[in-house]
Amino acid sequence: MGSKDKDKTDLQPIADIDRIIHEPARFMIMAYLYMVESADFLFLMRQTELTRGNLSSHLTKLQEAGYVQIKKEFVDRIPRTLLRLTGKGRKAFSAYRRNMKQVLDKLSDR
Amino acid sequence: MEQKVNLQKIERKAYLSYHQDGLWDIFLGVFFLGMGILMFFNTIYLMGGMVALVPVAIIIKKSFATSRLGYVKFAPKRQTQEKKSRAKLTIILTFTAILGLVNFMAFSGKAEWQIWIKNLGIIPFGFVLSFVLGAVGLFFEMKRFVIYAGLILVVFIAGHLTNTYPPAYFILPGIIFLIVGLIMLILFLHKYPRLKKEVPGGIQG
Repeated sequence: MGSKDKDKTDLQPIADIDRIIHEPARFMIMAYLYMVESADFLFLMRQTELTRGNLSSHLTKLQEAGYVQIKKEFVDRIPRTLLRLTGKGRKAFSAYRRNMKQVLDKLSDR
Repeated sequence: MEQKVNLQKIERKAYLSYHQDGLWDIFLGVFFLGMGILMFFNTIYLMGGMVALVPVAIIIKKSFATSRLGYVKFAPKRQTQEKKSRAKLTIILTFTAILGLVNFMAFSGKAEWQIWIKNLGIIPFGFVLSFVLGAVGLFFEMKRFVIYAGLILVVFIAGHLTNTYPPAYFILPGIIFLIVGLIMLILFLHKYPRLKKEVPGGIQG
């Protein structure tokens, strides 16, 4: 394997990073939803400290990517709009974590 | 990114934020103050009425926290942990109820162990309260309740040794819990103000 090919292989995980999740605000949203079963908009807003408009816009992108499911449900007889990661979203987030770990492990000084 | 992003820590922080509103401390303070006042007026039999308010307190707490912090269903692991904590607490409450009964029976007899317990005054009751609070603090990750448990123990023992009027054993901790709860509530309301009504459109629920 030539050195150029070797460099390409070394840096390939960086190219494979999911750009949808990589954006800091969306990463935060995915991280919180990854750790819970479901949550409403207000919960995410409080935990991520994003503004309403900002959060809404990022959730739309995540929903379009098929990572987040948004559904109206009744909880204790109160209607709530609940957000949860889809199966695809959970897999994507796990893959993102693995890729990032690989990238950061390769970024050594030596 | 020097600091690792620990997802467990994030989840735990979110979980604990639901216990930072000071409401449990306020309810506890009101309960203790109520006990002290009932004792002062020799109407301790009304204590049952206060215990009946516990479900009301739980509903108020849940509704208040959700209105400020939002609704979340934690992962099954956390839910299982909560269920186990509640089960353990139920066992402890049953055990302390039996202890309370034994303590009560001691007042009606003349056996050596009964006289010994009688001489302790209401310290056994303080132990029971302290034990329950400590358990709540440990099981539900509310460390300040473990401190409250210690405080109750100290107040009851010191009160007994200094022959302090018994209602004070409840009134003093009650005031402390109430003050702590109110401070926490003020800080909580400042950190999580009610949000203004939403403009239609977007994903906002």
